[in-house]
Amino acid sequence: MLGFALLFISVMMQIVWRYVLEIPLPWSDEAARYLLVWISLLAIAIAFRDDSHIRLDFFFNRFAPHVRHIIWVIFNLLSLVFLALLFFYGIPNAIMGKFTFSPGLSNLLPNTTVTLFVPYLSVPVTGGIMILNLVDYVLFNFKIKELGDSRAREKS
Amino acid sequence: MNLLVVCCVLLVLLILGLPIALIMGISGLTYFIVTGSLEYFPMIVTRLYSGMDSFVLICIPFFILAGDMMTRSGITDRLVKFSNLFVGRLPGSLAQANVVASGIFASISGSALGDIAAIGSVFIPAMKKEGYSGRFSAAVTAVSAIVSPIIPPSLIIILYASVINTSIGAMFVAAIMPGFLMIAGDMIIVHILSIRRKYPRREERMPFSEALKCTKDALIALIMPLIIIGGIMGGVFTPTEAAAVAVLYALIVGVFVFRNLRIRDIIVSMYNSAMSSGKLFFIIACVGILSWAFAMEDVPQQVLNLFSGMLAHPWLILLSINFFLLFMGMWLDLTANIFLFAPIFVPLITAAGVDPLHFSIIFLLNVNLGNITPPLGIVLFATSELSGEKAFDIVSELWGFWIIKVIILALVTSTPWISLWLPRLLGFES
Repeated sequence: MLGFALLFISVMMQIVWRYVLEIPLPWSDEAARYLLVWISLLAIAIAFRDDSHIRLDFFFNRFAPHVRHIIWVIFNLLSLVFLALLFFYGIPNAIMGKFTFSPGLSNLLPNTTVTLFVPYLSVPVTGGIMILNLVDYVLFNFKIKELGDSRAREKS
Repeated sequence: MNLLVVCCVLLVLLILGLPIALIMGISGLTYFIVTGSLEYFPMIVTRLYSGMDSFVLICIPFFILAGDMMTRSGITDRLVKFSNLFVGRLPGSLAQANVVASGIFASISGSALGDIAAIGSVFIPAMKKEGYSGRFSAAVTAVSAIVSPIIPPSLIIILYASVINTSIGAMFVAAIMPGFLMIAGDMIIVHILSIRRKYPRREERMPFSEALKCTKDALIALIMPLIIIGGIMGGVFTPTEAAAVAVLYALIVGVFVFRNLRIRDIIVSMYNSAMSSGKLFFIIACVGILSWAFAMEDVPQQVLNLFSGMLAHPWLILLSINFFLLFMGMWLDLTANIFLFAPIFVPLITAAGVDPLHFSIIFLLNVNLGNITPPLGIVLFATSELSGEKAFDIVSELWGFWIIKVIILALVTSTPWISLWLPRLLGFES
């Protein structure tokens, strides 16, 4: 589902861009940037579920299996703390953005006013999704004692 | 002192195997914990956000998308034929063709991993069939793939330029000659090894009509980098627009010229490019926190003070930076290296009177080599996964290539002419 949302936005981005090449619209620059942030954050969240972030597993794979399991739990807890920080500090940030107008995007629809709330909301929302995905990944793999190739979860 | 703690945390987390992006974020946060300035915590969100909110960076998913769609439209097989036409009669024909095909592919794709997936999956089985050892096939694939991040369009150049605010166009052009040197260096090593090990060469000549056809196909691929570089240099597009045009070109080629790009392929391509650029952006965003900590400790100024006695001898500074970056390249990935160290070294290098454009190429060549060195060696491990060879078996075949790469690096470092001649010719003053 996440994937589809992502794709849809990507397509939108493409279309926005093709317009840009013909007529430079005042809002397209901002729209593209906000979309970029949203897309990347969603992709980051998906990568948490697949455990496909770039990491140095050279040493990790050489620890004894039970040590590896402990380390794995520790670093996932650390990641969780970091993501929780993003989530909780992201909320006030987004609310703050509600009072700041986004200059280009507001020209797009003169009757509505787009605020920086829209792009800033991306951080807490995807932060929440990242936490859910990470918890999902951890719970799924927790029972598997052998974290064999460090990527135990093959099916999506 | 505070920085020492941060570095220790960074190292421990690195060895534990946390994702690199999170390591950057968490070790950046430890700085604020150690200095007791917890009131900065709410600002991490702003740092993260502003790291990604950049117009220039939009070209990254687009360049990945264009390269991926070109691959899916079957350009690889055509490039293989074309490079075989060129170097097939040399000893070790397939190995040479691998190097050349990677070089041409580099001008379509901007990162080494795409190159590995496309070129490696064709060449490694083919080379094994002709009697090359598996580890040699994998080594040639890995080493020729790291030309890809140097030859434009290159993602790391875009990243570097976005940090340092240099002209992407000038850097693209400056990277061309060093990129060709790297290809030439690989070909020399392959040539020597092939003669010594008596690897087979292609005996029969290719019929003229077929040669013409595959040249035409390869030209279609080569138009893309021409559009990108020409467009940026001529001032027609911004880099982001050039990337969007590249996507459009790849789409037209795939759908109307080669006619094997289906809607499904396009969707998968988009998904892949969103995923790989997302992983990259996560690192970019989180490095923002650590580099903020560096900035608060005034690291660039401290480094400048440290080297102040050596400012009269730029080559000494360059030498020490080279060693440092080669070492760091083994541990951190390209993105993290660029975002952490480029802002630190550029003021120093400018003070020492080295051309920043020249230095940018040195910097990228250095950290790029870390792609094929353990322990991180992203490209090395990707190749080993693809080929089924153990990473250390591949390393045993790599040392000759490493030596030539370091020689090229020394050459580029000592002769600014190599990287500066072409941009000057095209009218770039730095």
